[in-house]
Amino acid sequence: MASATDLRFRVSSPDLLRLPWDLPLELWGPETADLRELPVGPSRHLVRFPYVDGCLWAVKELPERVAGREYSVLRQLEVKDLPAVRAVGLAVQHESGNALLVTRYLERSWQFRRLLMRLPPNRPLHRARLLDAMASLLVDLHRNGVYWGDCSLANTLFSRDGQRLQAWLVDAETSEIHPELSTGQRLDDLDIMVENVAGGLLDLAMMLDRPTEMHAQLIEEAAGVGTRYNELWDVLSEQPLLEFGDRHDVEGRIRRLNDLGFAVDELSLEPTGSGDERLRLKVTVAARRFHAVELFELTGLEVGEGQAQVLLADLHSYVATLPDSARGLQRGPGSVSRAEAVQRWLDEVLRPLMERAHEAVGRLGDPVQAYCDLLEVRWLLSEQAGCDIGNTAALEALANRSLPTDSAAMVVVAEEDTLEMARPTHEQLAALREQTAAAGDREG
Amino acid sequence: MAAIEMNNIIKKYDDGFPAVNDVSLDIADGEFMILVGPSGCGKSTLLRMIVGLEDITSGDMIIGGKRVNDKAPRERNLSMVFQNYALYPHLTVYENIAFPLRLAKMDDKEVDRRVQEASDVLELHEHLDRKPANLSGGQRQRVAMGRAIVRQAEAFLFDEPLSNLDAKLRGQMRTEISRLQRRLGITTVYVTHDQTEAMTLGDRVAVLRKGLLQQVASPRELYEQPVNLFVAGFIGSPPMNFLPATVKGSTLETPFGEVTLDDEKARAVAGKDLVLMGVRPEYFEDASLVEDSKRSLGSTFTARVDVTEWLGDSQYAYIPFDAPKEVEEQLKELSRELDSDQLRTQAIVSIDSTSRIREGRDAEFWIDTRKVHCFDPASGDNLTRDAEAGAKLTREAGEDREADLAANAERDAHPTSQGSGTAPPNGSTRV
Repeated sequence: MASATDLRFRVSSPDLLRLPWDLPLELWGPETADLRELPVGPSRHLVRFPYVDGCLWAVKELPERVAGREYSVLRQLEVKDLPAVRAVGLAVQHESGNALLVTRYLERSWQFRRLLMRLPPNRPLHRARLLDAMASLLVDLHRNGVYWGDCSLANTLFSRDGQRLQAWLVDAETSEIHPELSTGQRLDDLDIMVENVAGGLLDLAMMLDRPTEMHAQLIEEAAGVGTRYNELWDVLSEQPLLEFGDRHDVEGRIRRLNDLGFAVDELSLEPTGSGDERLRLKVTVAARRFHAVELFELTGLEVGEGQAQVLLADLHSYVATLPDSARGLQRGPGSVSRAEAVQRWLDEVLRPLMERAHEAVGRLGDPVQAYCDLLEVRWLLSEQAGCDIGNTAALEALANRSLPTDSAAMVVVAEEDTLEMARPTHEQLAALREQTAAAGDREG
Repeated sequence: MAAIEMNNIIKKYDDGFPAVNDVSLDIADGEFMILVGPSGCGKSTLLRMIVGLEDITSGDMIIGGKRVNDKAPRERNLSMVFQNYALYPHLTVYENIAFPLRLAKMDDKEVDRRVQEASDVLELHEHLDRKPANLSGGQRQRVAMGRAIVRQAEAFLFDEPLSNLDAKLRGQMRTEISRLQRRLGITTVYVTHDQTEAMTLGDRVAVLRKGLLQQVASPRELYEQPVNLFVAGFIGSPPMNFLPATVKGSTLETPFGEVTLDDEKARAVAGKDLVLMGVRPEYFEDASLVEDSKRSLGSTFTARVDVTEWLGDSQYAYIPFDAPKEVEEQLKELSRELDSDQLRTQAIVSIDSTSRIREGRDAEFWIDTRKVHCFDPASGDNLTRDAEAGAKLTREAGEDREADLAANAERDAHPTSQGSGTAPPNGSTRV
């Protein structure tokens, strides 16, 4: 290793440390690293993906100053437990003034293109799930004082979380962390997001040769991200004036926040100080893990917030079918009964069906997600049939991929390995090549 | 396009720290203003207050005659160039430029007019129907600029735009930005910590230090007539040398011997015991190469050379000197503040590249004493600054700018190359 390279790593992966950190990234070849090609779209900087120690890593080359800043931002995002890729290392090559920033490629995550390319054309409901996740991510970042500066579909990875998607920040080159964001910073970030999302959707539509009539619709949908963001931001930041003792309004507000997945961290009622007898209700919320925490406390299962919502609903409905003695779950004493009820749900329902559902989807993705898919498919198909179709039929539908087109379960197609996918068209292949060339073509 | 007026702008954070402290600055319509200073000087904060990203604690921000303190960034209609310039690989160059107008649902005819106009300025005409992957790095940057141009913003704002580009592209882009700004005559505010960018790009440069505006002037005025030690030390590379000097009437006793001041400078330092004599590297010369007629206009001295650096077209010699403790501390502090690791107990001297002065030997040097400045070591003030001469330099730079803008306006009125309003190129994507 040349002495002119400083290494800072946060993982003890011997093979990762053995990569040629003193070489410019463009000189990395198959003899030094098992590099994988990922169609990630154009990037300002060269990015390569070595597969080392059973993991995929993303290595990005950029000027030392920018790399150092991004590394530091990603570290802070990790401390704040925000959904972002985790920085694991920085190799500063003093001679060239460049640095290689290493992040761990997020398991079971994928780019928006992968999902939208694999779905039938023009499915607004699926796009809505992506855009909901992006709006939600931006709200999370903003609540924590993070200005993204370049929020786009291409700078985001997605993973499945029950009937929702979870968005992850991937590129923090332009990000800044402040104690609190100004309204100007928030609105600017939001404008950037809307514009970039529209660009990302139009670009993909062009790549897939979708009819140009669709473009106006895509622009409208991108603008809708702003609306989603504002709705969520308003719910979290509103400070209504209440009469003293107006308990129902307080409870209503807490319930609304809980339904959205937020647990209340602190609640205060403060005089307005303007002679008005009403009080200002201020609520500080914790991370979006209300249901996840509840499920964990009940069952010890650690899952995403979206998955927890699905599982809790299933648990509650299961308990409702049990004899009275075991229905201590929601109310009343009898903690033994409650624990028994939960255990029975785990042993008799969740674990066996989760295993079968995971098997049915070809062991793709996470088993809990497969179970969430099973529940959704069974519910949707039963609704179509006008009667309960049962688990066996729902499992078959999962296995055959004969899923309702707009169902969240359909997103399983994004989990499938690229190599197992049907052959893309010539146009798609050409477009992919162009895109990869653009990504690999260093500026200058 | 619009003028930007800042009156007594203050930005205080919750901890009471004033990141920007009572800055008043007028940027004329069409002017290229640079905000420069070491890290933490408040330059980026000031830019962000212009664009609306930072709340203004007090003072007025006026753009195009309207107070914008409470306006959202978008309502200010400014363009942060290169801030997020993702190019879309499957859209043509034409559509990549037109993109913000499509989002604003502008009608096709107007979109076309603006894209053609921008591509004229950027010389991208022949590339309009290509995809970004087929462009060079520099051309892609121009497409990003095109996107900023078609928005027809009141002003362009740049926040260290070249800092994440490699050195080659950085040089190209600096030239491109300069050319474009002149051509469009658009008010531009540009933040940098790089003084080469500051000196080469700006009509005027505002130097900031710890949130306070130090001096606003043309690059030449800053270089030749700095208001204080900080500006003198910040502007110029290699930096100005500061030599401790004891005042004895019209003579300064320096580590390199005595220097005689002219009457005006002698009057300016009268009453001071100790000053810091500021000498730019090029105000020194190898005495053996100075013509006799010129020799009497300066002072000569002999000193031992520590190191020489021959760069082909130029040459530098490093001459160590001793400084009194209190001055040495101050110079080190200044050096730290300027983000420089230079220990100022040596002078950096520019000598002719043909000079045969060699390291480790004594050599005779000449200083052009007409050009030295004397600084008060306590306040840092430049005691010998000629404000009138400085103002003249900035006035001349302003006149040059006006002439350039007029020439461009004339060229636009009588174009000789491709005119705007031509049909879109074949194959351009219309959505």
